[in-house]
Amino acid sequence: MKILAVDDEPLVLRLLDATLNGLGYHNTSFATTAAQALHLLESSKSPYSCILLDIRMPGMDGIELCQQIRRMPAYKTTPIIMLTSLAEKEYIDESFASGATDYMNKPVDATELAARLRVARLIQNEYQRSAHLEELNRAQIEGFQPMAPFDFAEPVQIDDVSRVVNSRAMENYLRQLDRLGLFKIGVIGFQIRHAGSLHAANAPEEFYGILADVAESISENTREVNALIAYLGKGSFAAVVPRASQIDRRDLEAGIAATLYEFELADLVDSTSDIKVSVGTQINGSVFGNTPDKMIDLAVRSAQGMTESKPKALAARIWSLAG
Amino acid sequence: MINSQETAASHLAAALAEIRARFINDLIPLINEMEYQRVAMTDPALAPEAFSSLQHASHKISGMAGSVGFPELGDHAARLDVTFTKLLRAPYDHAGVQAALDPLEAFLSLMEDILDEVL
Repeated sequence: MKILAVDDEPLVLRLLDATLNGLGYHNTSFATTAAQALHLLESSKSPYSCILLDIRMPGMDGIELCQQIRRMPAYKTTPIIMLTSLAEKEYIDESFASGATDYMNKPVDATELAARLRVARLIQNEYQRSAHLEELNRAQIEGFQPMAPFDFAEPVQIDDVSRVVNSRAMENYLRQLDRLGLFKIGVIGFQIRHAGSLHAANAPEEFYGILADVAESISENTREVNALIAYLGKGSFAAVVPRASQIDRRDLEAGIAATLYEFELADLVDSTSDIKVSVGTQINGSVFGNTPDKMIDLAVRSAQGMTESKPKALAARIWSLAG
Repeated sequence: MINSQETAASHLAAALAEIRARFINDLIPLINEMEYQRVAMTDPALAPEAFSSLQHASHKISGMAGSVGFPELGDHAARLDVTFTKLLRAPYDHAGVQAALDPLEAFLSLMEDILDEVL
């Protein structure tokens, strides 16, 4: 596994060097600035398979560096682990929103680092095994279409939509909040109605386009609460929001319908031809249970179980929101 | 196999001892710097630079101390890191500065105790 570790503190890099060597990772490069890291990533003959990033660095910080790395086609899916002593939620949120796949607090614990790297390796292997995603990546890199088919259940990565992360990163995000006892969050599930039929009836790039537009509309309508969103496969999405956000699920459903209408994906009157998204009840984090996996599962089930709004009632709600 | 594991473990132990020694060595100039900035931060004109320096020093210590056998120092540094980040972001707050003095003093004492113990 080829690793790049970035930290402005040389002693931390020395510690990482010793720890990674002790864990059997002998192919690691080190950078003390974002500029050095970008140079290494751009000039490397073979891509790095995992990147460890400190957050607080002089000049470009780790969060901005993470965003820059994600803009590089070869590093769109590479695991990026933020390794920092900062434990406040704002840094965790910003990291995942910038494309990090995991977040680990200093001091560096060798056992924990080994576990995170194993997960990173699994993520990387998952991507490499998936021929569909490889082709998807290649298509993006080389800029040609059409896209290769992908399974209905595949949680394909939606690129270039603000605050949309991949499903694995969302799980890690929720686990990190759980570890730090930050329970003041909720998860809202979203379900594209008749997603299976849409997947079957549309070309892969068309179905991907629908997913990207739905992701955009969810992002747009949850912008005020800074939700972190992931596509989970099978037409389901989840958004992590502050527990106190008090979002009315019917207003959110109407807002999403209105945005999709603007994208010309939904017809507010003709209910047979449009893309509809149901919104579930917010599932809140709790000291007494509700693991991250369970929260996501409950949120999506809630969205799937919602009855469809009557078109006229939905239109009326949209008008009332607009008015 | 066992031999190679033992070799790796002894290499790691040697590296950690070297890192710990360097960390302790670095504490001396950090104490001097933080002592100086502790005084400077009570002057509104010098405070922004003092907060920045104190935040940098506490952040540096919080990231390493736990890994080299000083978890209490690391936890204390992490709390100061948050304190100075807040002071740095807000307009000068006399009460906030006064509230930070005692924890900073306790932190400096802890660093000195560590140096007394190991040197």
